[in-house]
Amino acid sequence: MQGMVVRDTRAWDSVIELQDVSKYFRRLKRGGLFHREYEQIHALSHVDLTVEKGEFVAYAGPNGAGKSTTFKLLCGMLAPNEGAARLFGTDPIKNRIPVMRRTGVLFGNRSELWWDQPVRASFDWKRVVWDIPRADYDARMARLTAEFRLDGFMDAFARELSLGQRMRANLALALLHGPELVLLDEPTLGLDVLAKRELIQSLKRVNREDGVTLLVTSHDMDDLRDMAQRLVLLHEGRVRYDGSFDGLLAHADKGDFEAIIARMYEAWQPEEA
Amino acid sequence: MGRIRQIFRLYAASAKLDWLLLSRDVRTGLIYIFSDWISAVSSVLGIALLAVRFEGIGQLNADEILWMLGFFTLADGFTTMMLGSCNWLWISRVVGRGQVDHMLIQPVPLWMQILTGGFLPFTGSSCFVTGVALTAVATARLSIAVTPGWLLLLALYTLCRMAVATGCSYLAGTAAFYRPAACEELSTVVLDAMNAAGKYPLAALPVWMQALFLTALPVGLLAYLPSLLMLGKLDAPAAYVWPVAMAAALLSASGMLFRKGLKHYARHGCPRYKSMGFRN
Repeated sequence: MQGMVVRDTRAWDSVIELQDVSKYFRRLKRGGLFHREYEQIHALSHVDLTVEKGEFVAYAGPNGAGKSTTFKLLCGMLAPNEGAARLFGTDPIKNRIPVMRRTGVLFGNRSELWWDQPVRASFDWKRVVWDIPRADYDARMARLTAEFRLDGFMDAFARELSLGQRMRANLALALLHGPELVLLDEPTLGLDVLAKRELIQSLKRVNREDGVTLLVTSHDMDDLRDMAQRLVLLHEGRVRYDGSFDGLLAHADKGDFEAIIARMYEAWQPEEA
Repeated sequence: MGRIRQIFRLYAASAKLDWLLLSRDVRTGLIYIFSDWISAVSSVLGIALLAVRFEGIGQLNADEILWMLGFFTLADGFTTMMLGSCNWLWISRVVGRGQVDHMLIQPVPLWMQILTGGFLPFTGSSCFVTGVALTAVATARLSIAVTPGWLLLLALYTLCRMAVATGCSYLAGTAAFYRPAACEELSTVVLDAMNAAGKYPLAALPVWMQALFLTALPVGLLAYLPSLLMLGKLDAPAAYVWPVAMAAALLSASGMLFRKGLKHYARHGCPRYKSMGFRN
């Protein structure tokens, strides 16, 4: 039986699997000529997370909760100290290339657009690098141009775009190769109300119509509630809540959503001290 | 075959981006190219004038020195043309600025990204063109018989020069995986130092220093040794293999260290907690 791989149905449909994942970093506490003291930072502690195909998951938490570390683990940039991270049932470090073919990534405050080139050039470049067949490329470009209203600035330089236009172009670029999974780190950061609303509607359509699995981080809980079906709350590297938004509200005191989350963060604080 | 096709497609993509950069403002682009020509000639002019004044340096006469400087410029220009974009040649900048993440999300092997992503055939070819012109003039003055074999050897040593410079840059530059901000410009320092020293003929130096500059600090491989071999000044057949062997050794060592650095990044690569960490 050696070498035979047995997979259960759940694993078959799982796009993301984090099994008891911990990630530590070492931080210099005190430096000296002969003696240095380090402290261990627990970016993630024993995180278990499974995201099924087609889910739209909000991944929330305060600053330093471990959201970006999770994304880097999923993309194979970081290796877990303990546990296992899997994308599409495979190790993203060992199988980076096939995993990246099926994944779209957008990191917070970063752009995948060529800064000193027209927006169109970034899309053309991606077609070649991802080896997207011409017919697929044309069809997807038509769809994405309409969805994210790119036609007004496709020939403008990326550095000339407004924040909202840049985010729309970056999102369209992340979706260009038809990924099955999209990881978005704070896609609504800094956007005005109208731009946010448009972006959220587009993401919902991509999830609903194309079946794309989405894992999105944001500090804006109302935005996350608008777009996602499931909420995973992270605090100091631990998953504190995993379920529906309504479920969270049902178990919390009255108040608006932001206030409830803030109270939860505060309540978790002393436990960690 | 698929790999080769992919490499050519990626070269074409890089060339297209470079063409777009040049064509969006041709006037500025041409001024930039013209400045590069002047700069490339100026950087070797001092040594050329010294060689003319003293009727050569060491065992090389003035025209042979001109040939060596031409080869240096040609090979340096070729290196910049092939790897000049996106800081691929100055890898410590890519690592130190936390841009490895951009590499890792592309479904292309890293070596292929490095090989093809820096191609600048239009805005980055000025130094190469200047080098070709200088080498052609010196070749004519020396009445060298240009045969296909000679041209192949010239191409081989140009590739070796690129491999030596890239290997040294990557050997030093991988330190940026461990001390990102502190080592961000290490590749630049190494390449600048090599380029400053590499255009001088080593003939006037003691033998032990020549040996040092052909092995541990391989600046003599940038132009001096290949020139002696191309001009038939060395009667040692084994010496013809030395630039190739050193290039292969440096590339292998730098590839190994880069992979080790990447593993370190996967274990500790957090910008926030890294000692001497990534700049914002």
